[in-house]
Amino acid sequence: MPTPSPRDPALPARLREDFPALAQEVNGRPLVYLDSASTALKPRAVIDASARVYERECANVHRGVHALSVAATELYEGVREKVRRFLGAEDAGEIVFTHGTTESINLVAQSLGRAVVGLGDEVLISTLEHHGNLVPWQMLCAERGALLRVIPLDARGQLDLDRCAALLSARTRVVAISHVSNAIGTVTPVREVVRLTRERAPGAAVLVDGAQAAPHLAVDVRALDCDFYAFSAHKLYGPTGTGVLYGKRERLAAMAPWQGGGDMIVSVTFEGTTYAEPPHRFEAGTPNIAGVVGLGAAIDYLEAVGMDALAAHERALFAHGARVLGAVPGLRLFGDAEDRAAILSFALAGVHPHDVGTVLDQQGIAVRTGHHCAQPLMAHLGVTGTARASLALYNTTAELDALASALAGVAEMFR
Amino acid sequence: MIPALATLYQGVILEHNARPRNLGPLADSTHEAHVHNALCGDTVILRLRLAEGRIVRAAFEGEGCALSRASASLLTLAVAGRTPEEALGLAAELDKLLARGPDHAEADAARLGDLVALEGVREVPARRRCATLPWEALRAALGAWRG
Repeated sequence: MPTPSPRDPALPARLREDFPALAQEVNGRPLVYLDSASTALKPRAVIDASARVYERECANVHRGVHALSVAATELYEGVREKVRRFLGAEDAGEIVFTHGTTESINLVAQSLGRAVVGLGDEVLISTLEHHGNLVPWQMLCAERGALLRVIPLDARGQLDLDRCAALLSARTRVVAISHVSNAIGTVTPVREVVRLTRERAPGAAVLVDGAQAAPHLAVDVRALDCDFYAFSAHKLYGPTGTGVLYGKRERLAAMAPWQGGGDMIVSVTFEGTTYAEPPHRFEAGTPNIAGVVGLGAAIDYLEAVGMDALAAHERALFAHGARVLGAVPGLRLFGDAEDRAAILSFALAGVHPHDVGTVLDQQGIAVRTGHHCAQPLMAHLGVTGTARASLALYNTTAELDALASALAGVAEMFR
Repeated sequence: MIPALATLYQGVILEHNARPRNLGPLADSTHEAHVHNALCGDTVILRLRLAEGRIVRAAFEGEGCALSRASASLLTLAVAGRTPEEALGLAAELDKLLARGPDHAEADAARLGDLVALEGVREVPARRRCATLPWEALRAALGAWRG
Protein backbone atom coordinates (compact mmCIF):
# COMPACT_ATOMS: atom_id res chain seq x y z
CA MET A 1 0.00 0.00 0.00
CA PRO A 2 1.49 3.33 -1.02
CA THR A 3 2.00 5.55 1.96
CA PRO A 4 3.59 8.98 1.88
CA SER A 5 7.30 8.43 2.21
CA PRO A 6 9.72 10.41 4.38
CA ARG A 7 12.05 10.49 1.38
CA ASP A 8 9.62 12.81 -0.39
CA PRO A 9 11.25 16.13 -0.86
CA ALA A 10 9.97 19.66 -0.54
CA LEU A 11 6.26 19.16 0.12
CA PRO A 12 4.85 17.67 3.31
CA ALA A 13 2.73 14.53 2.93
CA ARG A 14 -0.05 16.09 5.01
CA LEU A 15 -1.03 18.09 1.87
CA ARG A 16 -2.63 14.85 0.68
CA GLU A 17 -5.28 15.30 3.34
CA ASP A 18 -6.44 18.44 1.51
CA PHE A 19 -7.65 16.27 -1.39
CA PRO A 20 -10.82 14.33 -0.53
CA ALA A 21 -10.59 12.18 -3.68
CA LEU A 22 -7.35 10.63 -2.41
CA ALA A 23 -9.15 9.07 0.54
CA GLN A 24 -11.00 6.53 -1.61
CA GLU A 25 -10.24 3.00 -2.69
CA VAL A 26 -10.46 1.97 -6.33
CA ASN A 27 -10.98 -1.70 -7.15
CA GLY A 28 -10.30 -2.48 -3.52
CA ARG A 29 -6.94 -0.69 -3.41
CA PRO A 30 -5.97 2.78 -2.19
CA LEU A 31 -6.16 5.15 -5.16
CA VAL A 32 -2.82 5.99 -6.77
CA TYR A 33 -3.75 8.94 -8.97
CA LEU A 34 -1.19 9.46 -11.72
CA ASP A 35 -3.45 11.19 -14.26
CA SER A 36 -3.26 14.82 -13.16
CA ALA A 37 -2.31 15.95 -16.66
CA SER A 38 -5.83 14.89 -17.70
CA THR A 39 -7.35 16.64 -14.73
CA ALA A 40 -5.90 17.37 -11.31
CA LEU A 41 -7.72 16.39 -8.12
CA LYS A 42 -9.29 19.30 -6.24
CA PRO A 43 -8.36 20.45 -2.74
CA ARG A 44 -11.16 20.94 -0.22
CA ALA A 45 -10.62 24.73 -0.42
CA VAL A 46 -11.55 24.75 -4.13
CA ILE A 47 -14.58 22.51 -3.69
CA ASP A 48 -15.80 24.69 -0.81
CA ALA A 49 -15.22 27.96 -2.67
CA SER A 50 -17.27 26.81 -5.67
CA ALA A 51 -20.01 25.33 -3.47
CA ARG A 52 -20.17 28.54 -1.42
CA VAL A 53 -21.08 30.53 -4.52
CA TYR A 54 -24.17 28.36 -4.91
CA GLU A 55 -24.94 28.55 -1.22
CA ARG A 56 -24.44 32.28 -0.75
CA GLU A 57 -23.42 34.60 -3.59
CA CYS A 58 -25.87 32.86 -5.88
CA ALA A 59 -26.53 35.70 -8.29
CA ASN A 60 -25.49 36.75 -11.76
CA VAL A 61 -22.50 39.03 -12.31
CA HIS A 62 -22.39 42.53 -13.84
CA ARG A 63 -26.18 42.79 -13.81
CA GLY A 64 -28.02 43.59 -10.63
CA VAL A 65 -27.86 46.34 -8.08
CA HIS A 66 -28.89 43.92 -5.37
CA ALA A 67 -26.43 42.80 -2.73
CA LEU A 68 -25.87 39.23 -3.91
CA SER A 69 -25.16 40.31 -7.48
CA VAL A 70 -22.67 42.88 -6.23
CA ALA A 71 -20.99 40.24 -4.03
CA ALA A 72 -20.84 37.72 -6.91
CA THR A 73 -19.38 40.38 -9.21
CA GLU A 74 -16.73 41.28 -6.64
CA LEU A 75 -15.72 37.65 -6.21
CA TYR A 76 -15.62 37.08 -9.97
CA GLU A 77 -13.66 40.23 -10.81
CA GLY A 78 -11.38 39.60 -7.81
CA VAL A 79 -10.25 36.38 -9.46
CA ARG A 80 -9.37 38.32 -12.61
CA GLU A 81 -6.90 40.33 -10.54
CA LYS A 82 -5.59 37.11 -8.94
CA VAL A 83 -4.99 35.57 -12.36
CA ARG A 84 -3.25 38.75 -13.52
CA ARG A 85 -0.81 38.43 -10.62
CA PHE A 86 -0.43 34.66 -11.13
CA LEU A 87 0.60 35.18 -14.77
CA GLY A 88 2.61 38.36 -14.19
CA ALA A 89 0.35 40.31 -16.57
CA GLU A 90 0.29 44.09 -16.51
CA ASP A 91 -3.44 44.71 -16.39
CA ALA A 92 -6.46 42.69 -15.22
CA GLY A 93 -8.16 43.77 -18.48
CA GLU A 94 -5.79 41.39 -20.26
CA ILE A 95 -7.39 38.38 -18.55
CA VAL A 96 -10.37 36.82 -20.37
CA PHE A 97 -12.35 34.02 -18.71
CA THR A 98 -13.31 31.15 -21.02
CA HIS A 99 -14.47 27.57 -20.63
CA GLY A 100 -10.97 26.16 -20.96
CA THR A 101 -7.74 26.18 -22.93
CA THR A 102 -9.44 24.85 -26.05
CA GLU A 103 -11.98 27.67 -26.05
CA SER A 104 -9.23 30.22 -25.40
CA ILE A 105 -7.35 29.01 -28.48
CA ASN A 106 -10.50 28.91 -30.61
CA LEU A 107 -11.25 32.48 -29.53
CA VAL A 108 -7.88 33.66 -30.85
CA ALA A 109 -8.12 31.51 -34.01
CA GLN A 110 -11.58 32.87 -34.81
CA SER A 111 -11.19 36.48 -33.75
CA LEU A 112 -7.56 37.39 -34.43
CA GLY A 113 -7.07 34.59 -36.96
CA ARG A 114 -9.89 35.60 -39.29
CA ALA A 115 -8.68 39.22 -39.22
CA VAL A 116 -5.00 38.68 -39.90
CA VAL A 117 -4.65 35.35 -41.72
CA GLY A 118 -5.33 35.53 -45.45
CA LEU A 119 -4.75 33.58 -48.65
CA GLY A 120 -1.21 32.18 -48.75
CA ASP A 121 -0.36 33.28 -45.21
CA GLU A 122 1.09 30.84 -42.73
CA VAL A 123 0.35 29.61 -39.23
CA LEU A 124 3.20 27.88 -37.43
CA ILE A 125 2.66 25.16 -34.84
CA SER A 126 4.89 22.30 -33.64
CA THR A 127 4.87 18.50 -33.78
CA LEU A 128 4.22 18.47 -30.02
CA GLU A 129 0.78 20.05 -30.21
CA HIS A 130 -2.32 18.69 -28.51
CA HIS A 131 -5.27 18.53 -30.92
CA GLY A 132 -6.62 21.58 -29.05
CA ASN A 133 -3.77 23.69 -30.41
CA LEU A 134 -3.84 22.09 -33.84
CA VAL A 135 -7.39 21.57 -35.08
CA PRO A 136 -8.52 25.22 -34.52
CA TRP A 137 -5.59 26.39 -36.68
CA GLN A 138 -6.20 23.73 -39.29
CA MET A 139 -9.84 24.88 -39.52
CA LEU A 140 -8.74 28.51 -39.81
CA CYS A 141 -6.17 27.72 -42.51
CA ALA A 142 -8.71 25.70 -44.50
CA GLU A 143 -11.17 28.61 -44.33
CA ARG A 144 -8.63 31.30 -45.23
CA GLY A 145 -6.60 29.40 -47.81
CA ALA A 146 -3.58 29.64 -45.53
CA LEU A 147 -0.83 27.14 -44.87
CA LEU A 148 -0.25 25.28 -41.59
CA ARG A 149 3.48 24.77 -41.06
CA VAL A 150 5.00 22.55 -38.41
CA ILE A 151 8.17 23.03 -36.36
CA PRO A 152 9.75 19.56 -36.20
CA LEU A 153 11.35 17.90 -33.19
CA ASP A 154 14.90 16.75 -32.73
CA ALA A 155 15.74 13.19 -31.64
CA ARG A 156 15.25 14.11 -27.97
CA GLY A 157 11.71 15.43 -28.50
CA GLN A 158 12.67 19.11 -28.34
CA LEU A 159 11.68 21.85 -30.79
CA ASP A 160 14.23 22.18 -33.57
CA LEU A 161 14.97 25.89 -33.22
CA ASP A 162 17.01 26.09 -36.44
CA ARG A 163 14.05 24.76 -38.39
CA CYS A 164 11.76 27.07 -36.45
CA ALA A 165 13.89 30.04 -37.50
CA ALA A 166 13.87 28.85 -41.11
CA LEU A 167 10.08 28.42 -41.12
CA LEU A 168 9.41 31.94 -39.82
CA SER A 169 8.89 34.51 -42.57
CA ALA A 170 6.98 37.62 -43.54
CA ARG A 171 4.08 35.25 -44.37
CA THR A 172 3.85 33.97 -40.79
CA ARG A 173 0.81 35.48 -39.07
CA VAL A 174 0.47 33.30 -35.97
CA VAL A 175 2.87 31.06 -34.04
CA ALA A 176 1.02 28.68 -31.67
CA ILE A 177 3.06 26.38 -29.44
CA SER A 178 2.73 24.42 -26.22
CA HIS A 179 4.72 25.52 -23.20
CA VAL A 180 4.84 21.93 -21.93
CA SER A 181 3.94 18.87 -24.02
CA ASN A 182 1.00 16.95 -22.53
CA ALA A 183 2.23 13.70 -24.04
CA ILE A 184 5.99 13.65 -23.35
CA GLY A 185 6.57 16.55 -20.95
CA THR A 186 8.97 18.56 -23.09
CA VAL A 187 9.30 22.16 -21.84
CA THR A 188 9.64 24.35 -24.93
CA PRO A 189 11.90 27.42 -25.14
CA VAL A 190 9.00 29.86 -25.48
CA ARG A 191 11.12 32.95 -24.91
CA GLU A 192 13.48 31.90 -27.70
CA VAL A 193 10.59 31.19 -30.09
CA VAL A 194 9.13 34.63 -29.30
CA ARG A 195 12.53 36.29 -29.89
CA LEU A 196 12.92 34.49 -33.26
CA THR A 197 9.36 35.47 -34.22
CA ARG A 198 9.92 39.16 -33.46
CA GLU A 199 13.12 39.06 -35.51
CA ARG A 200 11.91 37.10 -38.53
CA ALA A 201 8.17 37.64 -38.61
CA PRO A 202 7.53 41.02 -37.03
CA GLY A 203 3.83 41.52 -36.45
CA ALA A 204 3.09 37.80 -36.06
CA ALA A 205 1.24 36.89 -32.86
CA VAL A 206 2.62 34.20 -30.56
CA LEU A 207 0.06 32.10 -28.67
CA VAL A 208 1.25 29.78 -25.92
CA ASP A 209 -0.84 26.75 -24.92
CA GLY A 210 -0.03 26.68 -21.22
CA ALA A 211 -2.50 23.98 -20.16
CA GLN A 212 0.31 21.68 -18.99
CA ALA A 213 2.71 24.41 -17.86
CA ALA A 214 0.64 26.55 -15.51
CA PRO A 215 0.21 23.70 -12.96
CA HIS A 216 3.95 23.03 -12.79
CA LEU A 217 6.05 26.12 -13.29
CA ALA A 218 5.84 29.81 -12.44
CA VAL A 219 4.58 31.58 -15.56
CA ASP A 220 5.52 35.19 -16.32
CA VAL A 221 3.83 36.33 -19.52
CA ARG A 222 5.77 39.59 -19.58
CA ALA A 223 9.12 37.79 -19.33
CA LEU A 224 7.97 35.36 -22.06
CA ASP A 225 6.76 38.35 -24.12
CA CYS A 226 4.09 36.16 -25.76
CA ASP A 227 0.94 37.78 -27.17
CA PHE A 228 -1.46 35.17 -25.78
CA TYR A 229 -1.29 32.56 -23.03
CA ALA A 230 -4.05 30.00 -22.46
CA PHE A 231 -4.66 27.58 -19.60
CA SER A 232 -7.44 25.60 -17.90
CA ALA A 233 -8.53 25.76 -14.27
CA HIS A 234 -9.16 22.02 -13.97
CA LYS A 235 -5.56 21.04 -14.58
CA LEU A 236 -4.55 23.63 -11.96
CA TYR A 237 -6.50 21.90 -9.15
CA GLY A 238 -9.54 24.05 -10.01
CA PRO A 239 -13.01 23.28 -11.38
CA THR A 240 -13.78 21.98 -14.88
CA GLY A 241 -15.41 24.26 -17.43
CA THR A 242 -13.26 27.28 -16.64
CA GLY A 243 -10.24 28.63 -18.44
CA VAL A 244 -8.19 31.72 -19.04
CA LEU A 245 -6.94 33.58 -22.05
CA TYR A 246 -4.29 36.19 -21.40
CA GLY A 247 -3.87 38.60 -24.29
CA LYS A 248 -1.67 41.68 -24.56
CA ARG A 249 -3.86 44.74 -24.19
CA GLU A 250 -3.19 46.11 -27.68
CA ARG A 251 -3.90 42.70 -29.23
CA LEU A 252 -7.24 42.27 -27.45
CA ALA A 253 -8.22 45.87 -28.20
CA ALA A 254 -7.79 45.25 -31.93
CA MET A 255 -9.85 42.07 -31.94
CA ALA A 256 -13.54 41.72 -32.83
CA PRO A 257 -15.87 39.68 -30.63
CA TRP A 258 -16.21 36.04 -31.62
CA GLN A 259 -19.47 35.30 -29.84
CA GLY A 260 -22.32 37.76 -29.43
CA GLY A 261 -24.73 38.00 -26.55
CA GLY A 262 -25.35 39.56 -23.20
CA ASP A 263 -22.59 41.02 -21.06
CA MET A 264 -20.34 41.83 -24.06
CA ILE A 265 -22.07 45.05 -25.15
CA VAL A 266 -22.25 48.74 -24.33
CA SER A 267 -25.52 49.38 -26.13
CA VAL A 268 -27.76 47.51 -28.54
CA THR A 269 -30.36 48.71 -31.03
CA PHE A 270 -31.84 46.87 -34.00
CA GLU A 271 -29.55 48.98 -36.19
CA GLY A 272 -26.37 47.92 -34.47
CA THR A 273 -24.40 47.14 -31.34
CA THR A 274 -21.51 48.84 -29.60
CA TYR A 275 -19.27 46.23 -28.08
CA ALA A 276 -17.77 46.39 -24.61
CA GLU A 277 -14.04 46.84 -24.17
CA PRO A 278 -11.86 43.79 -23.49
CA PRO A 279 -12.03 41.57 -21.52
CA HIS A 280 -15.86 41.68 -21.39
CA ARG A 281 -16.07 41.88 -25.18
CA PHE A 282 -14.99 38.23 -25.19
CA GLU A 283 -17.25 36.99 -22.39
CA ALA A 284 -20.70 36.74 -23.96
CA GLY A 285 -23.40 35.25 -21.78
CA THR A 286 -23.35 34.25 -18.13
CA PRO A 287 -19.88 32.97 -17.31
CA ASN A 288 -19.02 29.98 -15.11
CA ILE A 289 -19.08 32.06 -11.94
CA ALA A 290 -18.58 29.20 -9.48
CA GLY A 291 -15.81 27.84 -11.71
CA VAL A 292 -13.99 31.17 -11.78
CA VAL A 293 -14.30 31.54 -8.01
CA GLY A 294 -12.97 28.00 -7.63
CA LEU A 295 -10.04 28.94 -9.88
CA GLY A 296 -9.32 31.82 -7.50
CA ALA A 297 -9.23 29.37 -4.58
CA ALA A 298 -6.91 27.08 -6.55
CA ILE A 299 -4.48 29.95 -7.16
CA ASP A 300 -4.61 30.85 -3.45
CA TYR A 301 -3.87 27.21 -2.62
CA LEU A 302 -0.94 27.03 -5.05
CA GLU A 303 0.50 30.30 -3.80
CA ALA A 304 0.32 29.01 -0.22
CA VAL A 305 2.14 25.82 -1.29
CA GLY A 306 4.59 27.89 -3.32
CA MET A 307 5.23 27.30 -7.03
CA ASP A 308 8.98 26.89 -6.36
CA ALA A 309 8.41 24.24 -3.68
CA LEU A 310 5.91 22.50 -5.97
CA ALA A 311 8.36 22.51 -8.89
CA ALA A 312 11.15 21.13 -6.67
CA HIS A 313 8.83 18.39 -5.38
CA GLU A 314 7.81 17.38 -8.89
CA ARG A 315 11.41 17.45 -10.14
CA ALA A 316 12.44 15.04 -7.39
CA LEU A 317 9.40 12.81 -8.09
CA PHE A 318 10.15 12.86 -11.79
CA ALA A 319 13.78 11.82 -11.25
CA HIS A 320 12.67 9.02 -8.94
CA GLY A 321 9.98 7.90 -11.39
CA ALA A 322 12.36 7.87 -14.35
CA ARG A 323 14.77 5.77 -12.29
CA VAL A 324 12.29 3.14 -11.05
CA LEU A 325 10.42 2.89 -14.37
CA GLY A 326 13.74 2.64 -16.21
CA ALA A 327 14.47 -0.51 -14.22
CA VAL A 328 11.28 -2.29 -15.41
CA PRO A 329 12.24 -4.92 -18.02
CA GLY A 330 11.14 -3.95 -21.54
CA LEU A 331 9.97 -0.46 -20.56
CA ARG A 332 10.73 2.41 -22.91
CA LEU A 333 10.37 6.04 -21.78
CA PHE A 334 9.42 8.58 -24.47
CA GLY A 335 10.97 12.02 -24.65
CA ASP A 336 14.43 12.85 -23.50
CA ALA A 337 14.31 16.63 -23.53
CA GLU A 338 16.81 18.48 -21.35
CA ASP A 339 13.92 20.30 -19.73
CA ARG A 340 10.90 18.11 -18.93
CA ALA A 341 7.97 18.52 -16.56
CA ALA A 342 5.96 16.05 -14.53
CA ILE A 343 5.10 13.58 -17.31
CA LEU A 344 6.42 10.03 -17.67
CA SER A 345 5.23 8.60 -21.00
CA PHE A 346 6.15 4.99 -21.60
CA ALA A 347 5.51 1.71 -23.41
CA LEU A 348 6.07 -1.88 -22.39
CA ALA A 349 7.51 -4.08 -25.13
CA GLY A 350 4.82 -6.34 -26.57
CA VAL A 351 1.99 -4.94 -24.42
CA HIS A 352 -0.59 -2.50 -25.77
CA PRO A 353 -1.00 0.66 -23.63
CA HIS A 354 -4.70 -0.11 -23.03
CA ASP A 355 -3.85 -3.48 -21.55
CA VAL A 356 -1.26 -1.75 -19.34
CA GLY A 357 -3.93 0.75 -18.26
CA THR A 358 -6.51 -1.93 -17.43
CA VAL A 359 -4.08 -4.03 -15.39
CA LEU A 360 -2.94 -0.95 -13.45
CA ASP A 361 -6.55 0.16 -12.91
CA GLN A 362 -7.39 -3.17 -11.33
CA GLN A 363 -4.71 -2.32 -8.76
CA GLY A 364 -6.11 1.15 -8.09
CA ILE A 365 -3.48 2.94 -10.21
CA ALA A 366 -4.89 5.56 -12.59
CA VAL A 367 -2.82 6.40 -15.67
CA ARG A 368 -3.84 7.73 -19.06
CA THR A 369 -3.36 5.48 -22.05
CA GLY A 370 -3.72 6.13 -25.75
CA HIS A 371 -2.73 8.95 -28.07
CA HIS A 372 -3.21 11.77 -25.54
CA CYS A 373 -4.98 13.89 -28.20
CA ALA A 374 -1.62 14.22 -29.93
CA GLN A 375 -1.83 11.81 -32.86
CA PRO A 376 0.77 13.58 -35.06
CA LEU A 377 3.26 13.37 -32.16
CA MET A 378 2.46 9.65 -31.73
CA ALA A 379 3.11 9.16 -35.46
CA HIS A 380 6.44 10.98 -35.01
CA LEU A 381 7.30 8.59 -32.16
CA GLY A 382 6.22 5.63 -34.31
CA VAL A 383 3.54 4.40 -31.90
CA THR A 384 -0.27 4.55 -31.81
CA GLY A 385 -0.22 5.42 -28.13
CA THR A 386 1.64 5.36 -24.86
CA ALA A 387 0.84 4.97 -21.20
CA ARG A 388 1.33 8.17 -19.26
CA ALA A 389 1.90 8.74 -15.57
CA SER A 390 1.58 12.44 -14.78
CA LEU A 391 2.64 13.93 -11.47
CA ALA A 392 1.17 16.49 -9.14
CA LEU A 393 1.89 18.02 -5.76
CA TYR A 394 0.11 15.18 -3.88
CA ASN A 395 2.08 12.32 -5.42
CA THR A 396 4.77 10.43 -3.53
CA THR A 397 7.80 8.35 -4.37
CA ALA A 398 6.01 5.39 -2.75
CA GLU A 399 3.27 5.71 -5.40
CA LEU A 400 5.85 5.61 -8.17
CA ASP A 401 7.37 2.52 -6.56
CA ALA A 402 3.90 0.93 -6.59
CA LEU A 403 3.56 1.83 -10.29
CA ALA A 404 6.94 0.32 -11.15
CA SER A 405 6.21 -2.87 -9.26
CA ALA A 406 2.77 -3.20 -10.92
CA LEU A 407 4.39 -2.67 -14.34
CA ALA A 408 6.90 -5.41 -13.68
CA GLY A 409 3.85 -7.63 -13.05
CA VAL A 410 2.26 -6.56 -16.35
CA ALA A 411 5.42 -7.41 -18.27
CA GLU A 412 5.43 -10.81 -16.56
CA MET A 413 1.73 -11.46 -17.31
CA PHE A 414 2.01 -10.81 -21.07
CA ARG A 415 5.37 -12.53 -21.50
CA MET B 1 -3.50 -12.75 -10.33
CA ILE B 2 -6.29 -10.34 -9.36
CA PRO B 3 -9.61 -12.19 -10.08
CA ALA B 4 -10.99 -9.59 -12.52
CA LEU B 5 -7.73 -9.67 -14.45
CA ALA B 6 -7.66 -13.46 -14.46
CA THR B 7 -11.15 -13.43 -16.03
CA LEU B 8 -10.34 -10.66 -18.50
CA TYR B 9 -6.98 -11.97 -19.60
CA GLN B 10 -7.69 -15.68 -19.45
CA GLY B 11 -5.45 -18.19 -21.16
CA VAL B 12 -7.34 -18.24 -24.47
CA ILE B 13 -7.06 -14.44 -24.78
CA LEU B 14 -3.38 -14.26 -23.90
CA GLU B 15 -2.64 -17.15 -26.24
CA HIS B 16 -4.50 -15.59 -29.21
CA ASN B 17 -2.80 -12.26 -28.48
CA ALA B 18 0.63 -13.85 -28.46
CA ARG B 19 -0.10 -16.08 -31.48
CA PRO B 20 -2.95 -14.53 -33.47
CA ARG B 21 -4.50 -16.71 -36.20
CA ASN B 22 -5.10 -15.39 -39.71
CA LEU B 23 -3.13 -12.20 -39.11
CA GLY B 24 -2.11 -10.70 -42.43
CA PRO B 25 -3.45 -9.95 -45.91
CA LEU B 26 -5.95 -12.20 -47.65
CA ALA B 27 -5.48 -12.95 -51.33
CA ASP B 28 -8.69 -12.90 -53.38
CA SER B 29 -10.74 -11.35 -50.62
CA THR B 30 -14.25 -10.43 -51.72
CA HIS B 31 -15.28 -8.31 -48.72
CA GLU B 32 -13.31 -5.90 -46.63
CA ALA B 33 -13.83 -3.29 -43.91
CA HIS B 34 -11.59 -0.88 -42.01
CA VAL B 35 -12.79 0.21 -38.59
CA HIS B 36 -11.20 2.64 -36.20
CA ASN B 37 -11.57 3.33 -32.50
CA ALA B 38 -11.07 7.09 -32.17
CA LEU B 39 -10.67 6.73 -28.41
CA CYS B 40 -7.41 4.81 -28.63
CA GLY B 41 -6.42 5.09 -32.28
CA ASP B 42 -6.69 1.34 -32.81
CA THR B 43 -7.68 -0.06 -36.20
CA VAL B 44 -8.91 -3.39 -37.51
CA ILE B 45 -8.89 -4.30 -41.18
CA LEU B 46 -10.99 -7.40 -41.74
CA ARG B 47 -11.02 -9.26 -45.04
CA LEU B 48 -13.34 -12.09 -46.02
CA ARG B 49 -13.38 -14.45 -48.95
CA LEU B 50 -16.93 -15.52 -49.79
CA ALA B 51 -17.75 -18.31 -52.20
CA GLU B 52 -21.06 -20.01 -52.85
CA GLY B 53 -22.78 -18.16 -50.07
CA ARG B 54 -20.23 -19.00 -47.38
CA ILE B 55 -17.26 -17.28 -45.75
CA VAL B 56 -14.40 -19.45 -46.92
CA ARG B 57 -11.73 -17.58 -45.02
CA ALA B 58 -11.28 -14.49 -42.85
CA ALA B 59 -8.08 -12.60 -42.03
CA PHE B 60 -7.26 -9.38 -40.20
CA GLU B 61 -4.58 -6.73 -39.89
CA GLY B 62 -4.26 -3.63 -37.76
CA GLU B 63 -3.03 -2.17 -34.52
CA GLY B 64 -4.70 -3.21 -31.35
CA CYS B 65 -4.57 -4.30 -27.75
CA ALA B 66 -4.65 -7.88 -26.49
CA LEU B 67 -8.45 -7.87 -26.35
CA SER B 68 -8.99 -6.60 -29.88
CA ARG B 69 -6.29 -8.87 -31.31
CA ALA B 70 -7.63 -11.94 -29.54
CA SER B 71 -11.19 -11.06 -30.50
CA ALA B 72 -10.20 -10.62 -34.15
CA SER B 73 -8.22 -13.84 -34.15
CA LEU B 74 -11.13 -15.76 -32.60
CA LEU B 75 -13.50 -14.16 -35.11
CA THR B 76 -11.51 -15.40 -38.08
CA LEU B 77 -11.78 -18.97 -36.76
CA ALA B 78 -15.41 -18.67 -35.72
CA VAL B 79 -16.81 -17.35 -39.01
CA ALA B 80 -14.89 -19.61 -41.37
CA GLY B 81 -17.26 -21.99 -43.16
CA ARG B 82 -20.36 -20.11 -42.06
CA THR B 83 -22.94 -18.23 -44.08
CA PRO B 84 -23.04 -14.47 -43.57
CA GLU B 85 -26.32 -14.88 -41.64
CA GLU B 86 -24.70 -17.37 -39.29
CA ALA B 87 -21.67 -15.09 -38.81
CA LEU B 88 -23.90 -12.09 -38.03
CA GLY B 89 -25.85 -14.33 -35.65
CA LEU B 90 -22.60 -15.02 -33.79
CA ALA B 91 -21.94 -11.27 -33.57
CA ALA B 92 -25.39 -10.83 -31.99
CA GLU B 93 -24.68 -13.69 -29.58
CA LEU B 94 -21.41 -11.99 -28.55
CA ASP B 95 -23.35 -8.77 -27.89
CA LYS B 96 -25.55 -10.76 -25.52
CA LEU B 97 -22.47 -12.15 -23.76
CA LEU B 98 -21.07 -8.65 -23.21
CA ALA B 99 -24.33 -6.92 -22.26
CA ARG B 100 -24.70 -5.65 -18.70
CA GLY B 101 -27.75 -5.01 -16.61
CA PRO B 102 -30.72 -7.11 -15.56
CA ASP B 103 -32.64 -7.13 -18.84
CA HIS B 104 -30.29 -8.86 -21.23
CA ALA B 105 -30.91 -12.33 -22.58
CA GLU B 106 -28.61 -15.17 -21.63
CA ALA B 107 -25.94 -15.86 -24.27
CA ASP B 108 -25.74 -19.29 -25.83
CA ALA B 109 -22.31 -20.49 -24.62
CA ALA B 110 -22.32 -23.61 -26.78
CA ARG B 111 -22.91 -21.54 -29.88
CA LEU B 112 -20.13 -19.07 -28.94
CA GLY B 113 -17.50 -21.77 -28.28
CA ASP B 114 -14.07 -20.22 -27.63
CA LEU B 115 -15.57 -16.73 -27.90
CA VAL B 116 -16.86 -17.19 -24.36
CA ALA B 117 -13.29 -16.32 -23.31
CA LEU B 118 -14.24 -12.66 -24.00
CA GLU B 119 -16.79 -12.65 -21.15
CA GLY B 120 -14.41 -10.82 -18.76
CA VAL B 121 -14.91 -7.67 -20.87
CA ARG B 122 -18.47 -7.43 -19.51
CA GLU B 123 -17.13 -6.26 -16.14
CA VAL B 124 -14.69 -3.74 -17.67
CA PRO B 125 -16.95 -1.43 -19.70
CA ALA B 126 -14.06 0.89 -20.63
CA ARG B 127 -12.67 -1.96 -22.73
CA ARG B 128 -15.88 -3.25 -24.34
CA ARG B 129 -15.23 -1.61 -27.68
CA CYS B 130 -11.78 -3.25 -27.88
CA ALA B 131 -13.48 -6.64 -28.00
CA THR B 132 -16.31 -5.57 -30.32
CA LEU B 133 -14.21 -3.63 -32.87
CA PRO B 134 -13.45 -6.70 -35.06
CA TRP B 135 -17.17 -7.57 -35.02
CA GLU B 136 -18.03 -4.05 -36.12
CA ALA B 137 -15.68 -4.72 -39.02
CA LEU B 138 -17.54 -7.97 -39.75
CA ARG B 139 -20.88 -6.16 -39.83
CA ALA B 140 -19.43 -3.42 -42.04
CA ALA B 141 -17.82 -5.92 -44.42
CA LEU B 142 -21.04 -7.89 -44.76
CA GLY B 143 -23.14 -4.74 -45.04
CA ALA B 144 -22.53 -4.86 -48.76
CA TRP B 145 -23.40 -8.54 -49.00
CA ARG B 146 -26.49 -9.63 -50.90
CA GLY B 147 -27.49 -13.24 -50.45
